Amino acid sequence: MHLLRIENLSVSYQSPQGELPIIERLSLKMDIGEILGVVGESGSGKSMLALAIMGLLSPKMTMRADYINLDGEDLMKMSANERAVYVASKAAIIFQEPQASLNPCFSISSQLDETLSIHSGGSRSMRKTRALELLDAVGINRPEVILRMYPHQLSGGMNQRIAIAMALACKPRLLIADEPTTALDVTIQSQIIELLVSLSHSEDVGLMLITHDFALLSENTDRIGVIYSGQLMEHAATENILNSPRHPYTKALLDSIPQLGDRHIKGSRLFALEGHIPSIDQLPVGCRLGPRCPKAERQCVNKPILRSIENYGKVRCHLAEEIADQPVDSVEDKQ
Amino acid sequence: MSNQPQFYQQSQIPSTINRWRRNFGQNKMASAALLLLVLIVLVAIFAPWIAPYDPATQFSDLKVPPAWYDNGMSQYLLGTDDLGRDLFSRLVHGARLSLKLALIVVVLASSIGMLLGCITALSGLLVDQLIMRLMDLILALPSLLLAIVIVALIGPGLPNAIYAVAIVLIPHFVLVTRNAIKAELSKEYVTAMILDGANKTRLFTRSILPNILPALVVQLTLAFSTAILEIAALGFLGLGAQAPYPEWGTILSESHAYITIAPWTVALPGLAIFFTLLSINLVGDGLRDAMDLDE
Amino acid sequence: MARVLLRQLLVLLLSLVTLTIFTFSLTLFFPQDMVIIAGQTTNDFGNLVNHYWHYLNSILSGEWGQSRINGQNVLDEFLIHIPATIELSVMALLFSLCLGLPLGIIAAENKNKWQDKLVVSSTLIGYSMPIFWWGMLLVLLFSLTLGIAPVASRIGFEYDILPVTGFMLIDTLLSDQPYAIEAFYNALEHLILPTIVLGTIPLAIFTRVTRSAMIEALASDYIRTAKAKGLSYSRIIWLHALRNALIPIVTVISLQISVLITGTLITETIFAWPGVGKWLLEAVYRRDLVTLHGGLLAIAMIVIMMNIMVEIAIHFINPKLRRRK
Repeated sequence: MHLLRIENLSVSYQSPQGELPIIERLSLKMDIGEILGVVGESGSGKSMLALAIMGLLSPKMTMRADYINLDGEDLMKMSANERAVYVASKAAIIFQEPQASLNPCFSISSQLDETLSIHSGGSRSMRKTRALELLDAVGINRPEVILRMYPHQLSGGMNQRIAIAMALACKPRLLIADEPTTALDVTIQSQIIELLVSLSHSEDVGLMLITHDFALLSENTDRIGVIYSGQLMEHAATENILNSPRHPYTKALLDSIPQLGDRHIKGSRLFALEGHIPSIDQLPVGCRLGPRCPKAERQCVNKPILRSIENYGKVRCHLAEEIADQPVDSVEDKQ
Repeated sequence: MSNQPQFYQQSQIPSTINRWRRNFGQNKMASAALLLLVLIVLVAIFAPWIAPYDPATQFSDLKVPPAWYDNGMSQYLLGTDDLGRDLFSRLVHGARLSLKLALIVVVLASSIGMLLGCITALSGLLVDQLIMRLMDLILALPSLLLAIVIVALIGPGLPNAIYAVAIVLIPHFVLVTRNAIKAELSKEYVTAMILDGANKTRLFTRSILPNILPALVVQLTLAFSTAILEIAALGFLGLGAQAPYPEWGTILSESHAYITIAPWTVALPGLAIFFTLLSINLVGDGLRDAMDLDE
Repeated sequence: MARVLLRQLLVLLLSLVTLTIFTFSLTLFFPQDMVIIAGQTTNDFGNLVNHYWHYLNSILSGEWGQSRINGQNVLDEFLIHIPATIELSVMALLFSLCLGLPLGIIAAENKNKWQDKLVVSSTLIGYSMPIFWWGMLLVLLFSLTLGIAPVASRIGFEYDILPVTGFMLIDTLLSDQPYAIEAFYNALEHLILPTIVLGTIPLAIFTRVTRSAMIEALASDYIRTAKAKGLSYSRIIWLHALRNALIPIVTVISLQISVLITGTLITETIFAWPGVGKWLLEAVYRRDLVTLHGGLLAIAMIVIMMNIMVEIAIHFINPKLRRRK
């Protein structure tokens, strides 16, 4: 049985100019214990995906879907209150700014205790023991000291670990991490990602890792989903995508990662796609990547659909088969 | 750029002032208030032509209610007061007086205050601290209390009331100007300009001034509303414009005694003050929203 | 924590000294009247420091000069009149806080819906209302037309209450007269209209500040986290959001103290309330500069002390300002 199944999720924003699409007909699946990487540029809608699943969208957003199946139950069939309770017990989320996710006015201990009293219950001392266990599990060295402190007294990395501990306290089946390391030092980044991955394996919790940094996902994920301008462009096993990406956008993302060992040729620039993400009130006709796509052809004026490719995964591109035959750009080609 | 067909057009990015104007225009209440304010200003400017009578003329028809009452008279649109003066003419001239006084006060307070604010923001620590301590002290004192003390020192009456209210308003301008300038100075683009070799004048006029403008504009509207209120308050207490000036607050101080016999002489002048203040505050709020300022 | 208190004490001392220098410089405008305090009649600027020292000594020993109204010591007169003002101001502050906080929360919860729009327009109206007109309107409506509230003064003439503390509500309860409880209710009645009049502008301001502070708090990431954790709606509002919103709200309280005193001057005039405001206005009409000096000094001292207390309170509430371990 799948952990998460989303079919045709659409999120739009109510603006004075009308309803603007943020996410359009997105469908994906996650297995129990799977680590899914969701990658895309800023503004692609990937954070909205996380909020939509958790039911945390602002009132100005409208959400529609055929179904959102979380651990066997369809969220769309529930009332708002039922959803909130169900999602809180099945899923948890950590955000980009660790210090902002914690209430500055309350100590770590009171915030952890609050979560535990809802999700685990038990006496005060039982909760305290559990809180110390959780802090230990996320790699915090002197948990008794940390419990008494306040978020602003701790570093970003510490706060993020605490946020993860709080998320685990909810005993979730699915953990969504929305850009968990973007605001942290590079040295801490890998630690936090490793922590998330190891927790996912040890607690058998599905992990949805959302980021704009492809490099983070290559070693850690089972599958990757690529989002551009509110649509899912590619969804396949990680090694498939890394070896032979089928979508021009994915290819471009991979090509733009500077490789260790690249010789810098004077005058050459890092590879990047020209142009920028289209604004939602001025979407292109046909494929959303069309204006920027190096491979675009006449048929790209028609909207491509997400289709399955044999032995690979799903791609939203007219030219998926042809692209597969082309090798990933090597270092020499870029010069 | 690329030689690919362009599938989308770049929309025009409006200039800052146009953006502000557009934001403000979308705010229905603020726009309506602006219209009302313009109306009041027009009434004030054209008062001598709009008012049917001279505000000081006393007719023999005492305490006549407004024209729409049964025993009202049509020649006195809003009735007369206890001395037989036409209320409508008095209110219209009062608008002229109140707005004129408030304008003088705000011009005085803002020019001195902004100048002082610039000096203290751009000076060394000692001067800055000295001036700010003094401003803090004046700000801590209740405004009306300070005003009446000043009036007691230099005597009641019109020009003194203007000085008193202006003195009370100066620290607000100093504070806003100084804080706005300091905030801009700490920003990195200013450091970049200095490193580029911009001299002080250029720095000030090209980068600092345009960026502190929103805060100053909002402070000006706030000061205007405060000025009208304080002048009216002083008038009400008998310390501002003296009778027979038709200042709205002064009119109220006279009408107070006749509140039961001629309630319209209390209700109507107050209504005039209220609507003027309301429209200024709405416009000020609208400006603050339009220019994206924090409250 | 002790460090914070010590620092605030220092600020207090510094502010008070600055205040006395300021008031001293005011006395130089009218040296004849201030003879008793300043000790000299000539404008001898060379001896300014001695002058000031003498002045400071007089102030500290309670010698504030004699009031022109009744010849009594200005400080004593002030202490006689201040309880009435404090009673009224405290009631007005409570009124504005008890109504303002819930209204602000309701507005923030229902942002942009009709409840919010209603609250915002009401605060705008309250904020734009000239206090003297508002007072007169209420008197016209409730006292004179409907006759359900008293027009003036703190208590009916028929009650003879011993001024033990100066606070009418307490004195009536302490009184051993047979009509003590009745007098208490009567005093309350007399307080209603002035409290509403004085408290209207602070009410508008507290509502606004609460609303914007709550809106900001509710938009924060930690509220999103709290929702994701499954906390109940009321817990999120009353515990998580409000606790953070309290910081700007308490900051605004110190501003309201000045607003209240300004309002007191006018409110006491309208309702013939025998407090400091009425006393000072009398002094202005008589050009009694000694009284005015004393009143200004005393009120400024009170305002400064209250501001310091609010500063200390903010240090308690805002964990970011507490000492690190």
